[in-house]
Amino acid sequence: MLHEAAFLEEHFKSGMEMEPFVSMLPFDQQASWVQRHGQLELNEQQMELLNSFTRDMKILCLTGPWCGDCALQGAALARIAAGQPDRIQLRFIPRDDSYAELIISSMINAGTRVPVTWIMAEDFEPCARIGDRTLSRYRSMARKALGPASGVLADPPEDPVRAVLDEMLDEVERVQWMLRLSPRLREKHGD
Amino acid sequence: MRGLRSHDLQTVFQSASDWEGYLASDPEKAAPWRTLLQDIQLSDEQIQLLNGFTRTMRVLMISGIWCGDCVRQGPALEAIARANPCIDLRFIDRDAIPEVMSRLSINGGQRVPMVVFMAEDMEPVSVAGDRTLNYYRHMINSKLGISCPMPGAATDDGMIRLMTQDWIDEFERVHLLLRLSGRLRQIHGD
Repeated sequence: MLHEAAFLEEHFKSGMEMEPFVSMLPFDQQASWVQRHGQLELNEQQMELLNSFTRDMKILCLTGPWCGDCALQGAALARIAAGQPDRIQLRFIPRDDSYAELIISSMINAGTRVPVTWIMAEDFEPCARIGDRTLSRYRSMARKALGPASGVLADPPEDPVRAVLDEMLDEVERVQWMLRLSPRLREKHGD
Repeated sequence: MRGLRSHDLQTVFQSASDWEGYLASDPEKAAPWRTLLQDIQLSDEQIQLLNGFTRTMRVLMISGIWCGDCVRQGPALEAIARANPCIDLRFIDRDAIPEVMSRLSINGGQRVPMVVFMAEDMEPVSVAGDRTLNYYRHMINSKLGISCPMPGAATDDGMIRLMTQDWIDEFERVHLLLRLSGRLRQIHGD
């Protein structure tokens, strides 16, 4: 489910950073990525957290250019990567036939859902795979689709867009601490 | 390369044990698992949330009964599962399933615990492990000797409570994914 490092590395190297990825999309699909990116500036505390990172991380996002959740999570990840450009490298690949092997082996609940994101160590060893939607997005969808029967107890977030940024940053932070405390990497880096 | 598929997981899940069966495999090492389970008290709101789950979910904890991280997290998962029979939680030892573990490597190692969330028909949904965010924040504070606790980091006493909430969040996310799934809504007519 998490895949082998060499397989992920191969896909990472064929991926693109957000700006060239978005610029090759049809104009109508670019708009949602640009809009979300504009809404997701990091705050001071988030910048401080990212500046404390000391381990290199690679992030690969399998995404659908037409997909609203992909634009939202993709823009959030781009902001996070830009907040720590020395440590975080982010690449996007589209969900199309040229990546069929990755797509078919990353199914969620029997579907080829997107976005799916792998967070990796400096040598592409996988550390986490997340997708497709975050908890806050599922709560929002459940409230709308099911009403009181949704069973959702949490209050809606003040800013649903920034809630997703927080959730993505939480997972990136978790993996950073995993890498920072990893005996394998502590031995390698002598720290 | 290949991902985990439902037929792989079905075989593993069927050979896994429930809480009592797993702990019976080594009663001496099981003692701290039982002690910690007694210490975990879900809040009324957590119980209400879990009681509202309506989709069956299969949850496999891949563990080592000797493993300190598993001792802390296994009882939290069991406490969550006891709140709703829709949650079918099983435990299995890492060394019993080397082929599956080879596909769940994290940061180059076969770490435990790993938790695999599945739909009722064993379709994989999510993999989580080895530790939650609050657990790692706690470790960063204690192991790296940071003099000022980082914001949000748990104390020793609070760590289990926050870690349990981290796990409840992932159970809730997976449940809502299943509840809203077009495939499953068609099967269940809801």
